[in-house]
Amino acid sequence: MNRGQASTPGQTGTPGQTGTRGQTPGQTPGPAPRQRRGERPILQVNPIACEAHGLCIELLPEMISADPWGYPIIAPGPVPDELLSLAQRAVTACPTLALLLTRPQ
Amino acid sequence: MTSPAAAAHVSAIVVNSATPLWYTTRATGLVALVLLTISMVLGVLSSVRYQRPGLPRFVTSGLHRNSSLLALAFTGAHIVTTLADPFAHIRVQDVVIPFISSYRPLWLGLGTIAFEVMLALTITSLVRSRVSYRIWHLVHWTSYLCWPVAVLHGLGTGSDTPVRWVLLLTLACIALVTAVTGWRLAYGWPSHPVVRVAGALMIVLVLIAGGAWLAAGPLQPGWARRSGTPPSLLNTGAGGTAGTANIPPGAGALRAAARAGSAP
Amino acid sequence: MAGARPAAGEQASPPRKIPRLIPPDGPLSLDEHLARYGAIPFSAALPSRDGGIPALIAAVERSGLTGRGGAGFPAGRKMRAVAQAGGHAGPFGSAVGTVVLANGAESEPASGKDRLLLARAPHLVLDGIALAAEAVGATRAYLCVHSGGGAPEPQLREAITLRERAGLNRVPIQVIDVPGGYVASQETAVISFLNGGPALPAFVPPRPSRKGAHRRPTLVQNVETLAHVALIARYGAAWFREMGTAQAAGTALVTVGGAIRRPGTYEIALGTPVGDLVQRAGGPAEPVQAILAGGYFGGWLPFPAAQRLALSDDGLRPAGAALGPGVLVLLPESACGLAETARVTSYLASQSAGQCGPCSNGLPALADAIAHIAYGQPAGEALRWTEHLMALVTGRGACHLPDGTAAIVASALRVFASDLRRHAEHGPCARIRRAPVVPAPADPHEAS
Repeated sequence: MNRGQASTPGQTGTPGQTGTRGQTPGQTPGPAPRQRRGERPILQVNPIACEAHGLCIELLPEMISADPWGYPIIAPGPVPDELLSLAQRAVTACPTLALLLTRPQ
Repeated sequence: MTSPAAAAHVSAIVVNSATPLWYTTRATGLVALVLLTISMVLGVLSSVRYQRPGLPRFVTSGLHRNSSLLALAFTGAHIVTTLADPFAHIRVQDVVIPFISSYRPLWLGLGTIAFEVMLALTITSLVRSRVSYRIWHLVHWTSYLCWPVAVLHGLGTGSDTPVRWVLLLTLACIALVTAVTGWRLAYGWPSHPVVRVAGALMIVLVLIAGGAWLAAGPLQPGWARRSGTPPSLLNTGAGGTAGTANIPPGAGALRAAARAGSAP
Repeated sequence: MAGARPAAGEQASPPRKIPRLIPPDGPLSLDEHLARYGAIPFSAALPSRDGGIPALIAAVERSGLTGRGGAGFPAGRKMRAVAQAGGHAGPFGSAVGTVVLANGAESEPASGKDRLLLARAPHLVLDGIALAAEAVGATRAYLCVHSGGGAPEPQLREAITLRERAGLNRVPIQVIDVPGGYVASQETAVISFLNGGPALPAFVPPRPSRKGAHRRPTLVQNVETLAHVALIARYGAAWFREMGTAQAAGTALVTVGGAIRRPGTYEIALGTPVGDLVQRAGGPAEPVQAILAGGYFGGWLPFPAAQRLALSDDGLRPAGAALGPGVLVLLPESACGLAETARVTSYLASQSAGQCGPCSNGLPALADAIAHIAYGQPAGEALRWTEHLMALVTGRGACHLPDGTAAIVASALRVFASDLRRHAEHGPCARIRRAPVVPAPADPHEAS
C-alpha cells in the first residue's frame, strides 16, 4: 500500500490539508469540472474545532456525510459551482466555525 | 363621573399617558420579552443538541438566530417609542447610560443594561467569522445575564405588572426558561459538575429572591412611587387598592380620574 | 581521522567515511570539536551581497538534505521559506525576527538516535542551530528535549553557556523540556507548548514556517538535520552528496532493535541495503520473520526478502514501509506479528490527543478490531470492519497519528496474511504469549 506523506511526530514537513488527503469513502461530487478548475474552492473541516454538531451534514448532504460517530466526511475534490452557495451556507451554520471553504494553495 | 372606587383603582397605576406611543412601548416591550424568551429556549436547545426528525439542528439554530434578531427589532421599537413619547421624559442618554433617568432610574437602567448586552450578543454573532470562537462563546454566555435583567426591567418598570394576563405571561416565560436551563444542567452542560451545581443553586436563589421581590414590590400598591416614578407623574400621593387593576378605557376618564384622585 | 588543529583560515579535512555525525571518541569538548571540524562558518549564513538568500541555504538545498525527524521534507526549502517569511511577517509587511526550534523530543519509543546525538555530539547540533538561526534571521532559538526520555539536559545547558561565552551562539538558545507523549513532539504540538498551551497538535494552516512560536515564522528541524547542516556549512553540498543516493543524499542515524545481536544506533549512508545494516549490527539474535521499518508510522517488511531493500524513504515506500525517523525493529519468528501490531495500535490509540473526533473515537475502535484479530478468532467481517475503520480515520485528524496507525495495521494485515488466515481458522497462535518485542510503553505518558 502506498502511503504517501506519512510522518512521525518528530517532524511534520508538509502537514497538508485535512479534508483532501487520504482516502474518504468514495463519493464523486457533481458534474465535470469547468475551465477554471484550479480556482475552485474546496471544503475542509478543522477536526480540532469540530464537535460533531452535524449541521453541515444536514445542510450539504451532497458532499458531506456522517461517520459512525457523527463527524463529517467530506467528499474530496473542489466544490461544484451549483453547490457553492449551499456550501457557503453550511460554513456559516457551523456552530464552532469548523467548516472552511478555502482556495487551494 | 367615576366612582371613588374606580378612581382608587386608577391611582394604583400610572397609566396617565394615553398616547398611542405609550401603549406601543408597553406592547413592544412585552413582545420583545416573549421573543427573547423564545430565543433563550432555542439557544439552550441548540447547545444540548436537541434534535427531532421534524426539527433538524439547522432549523433550531436558524430559528434562534431569527428570533434573536426579531427580539432586537422589537426592543428597538420599544426604545424608540419610549423616546418619542413625552410622558416619562426619557432621554437618549438614558438609553445608553443606565440609572440616570428621572423615571424609575433603577428599573429603567436594567433595561438599558439588557439592551446593551443584547447589542453585544447580536454584533458578535453577526461578525462571528471574524471574531475568534472563544471570544464569541464568552460573550454569548452573557445571554444568561441579559434575559433575567430584561425580565426584571419589565416587572419593575412596566406599568402592567399587576395586570393578570401580563403577569401570567411573564411568569410563563420565567417558567419556560427555568425549565430549559434546568434541563440543560441536568443534561450535563457545562461539563464541570461544580459549575452545574453552582448554576442550579443560582437559579433556585434567583427564583426565590425574585418571587419575594415581586410579591413585596410591584404587586403591592404604591409601587409606582417606590420604584422612582417622578412625583409629577403620580397622582397626589400613592396608594389605592392593591391587586389587579384594570386599565380604564379612554383618556378622558383617566385624566379626570387622576385629577379627581383622592386617597392617601 | 581526527586532524590536528588546522591553521588559521584552513578548513579542517572533511570525514570521508562513516561516521560523520558521532565521533567514536565523543563527546568532544568545545575546543576539541572546533579542532576536529573547524571553525563555524558563519559568513556562509549571512545574506548574500545583493541581499538575497544566504549561501548556506542554497548549499543545503543543493545538498538534498531532508528532515531526519520522519517527514523527510527538504530542509533547504524549509529554511528558505522561513527566511523569506521573516522578511515580511511583521506589521505592514516589515521584517520580523524568526525563531529556530531544534526538535530533539523524540517521542517515538523505538528511536534513540536524537538522545544519542545530543549526548555524544551536542556541539554539532548547537553549531547547526546557530548557523540556521543566522541564515533565517532568527532572534532566538529553542532546543526541545524530553528529560523523562533520558535527554542530557544539564550537559546541554552547560555546553550552551560555554559557547555563549565564546560568542558562538549568535542568538540566545534555550533548552525546553517537552512533556512525554507520542504526539507531544509533533511540530505544531511543540510550538503550542512553547506558546504556553498544551503539547498537542494544532490545525494547519497557518504553517509554522509562516506563524509558529510567538506568532513568528519558525524553523522546526530535527536535531540530526541541524547536525548535518553544521557539516554542510563547513564541507559543502558536494561533500554531503558523496554518500547516499541521488534521491536520498547523505547519511542518517538508524536505531536497530528487537531480535538483533547488537541493538543500538548506527549511522548509515542512505540507500544502504537493509541486510548490510543488519549484519553490521551483528545479525539476527534468533530467526527473524519481519522488520518494522519507520517506527510506529512505518510498516512491516517480510524478512529475509527485505534485506535487499534500500534504506531510504523512496527505497522502502514501494514495499509499504518508510525509513521515517530511522527505526528498525526485528520481529523474531517466535513472536506473532498481529499481536505485536495490536499492542502498538493500542498504545497509539492511548496517545490520541483527544482533540479530533475521528481519531479519539476511531483509534480505540481500530485497536479493538486488530486486537480481536490477534487474540480472537476473526470472521470475515472482522477484517472488513478493520479495513473500514482504517479508511475512516485516515486523513481526518489534525496530525498524522490516525494515518500512521492505519498504515501500520494495513501493512500488518498484508505481511502477516498467513497468520491472519491461521487465526481465522484455528484461533490465536501460541506465539501471542511471547514477551513483547516492539516497545510500547505501559505508561502512555512516558516514552522509553
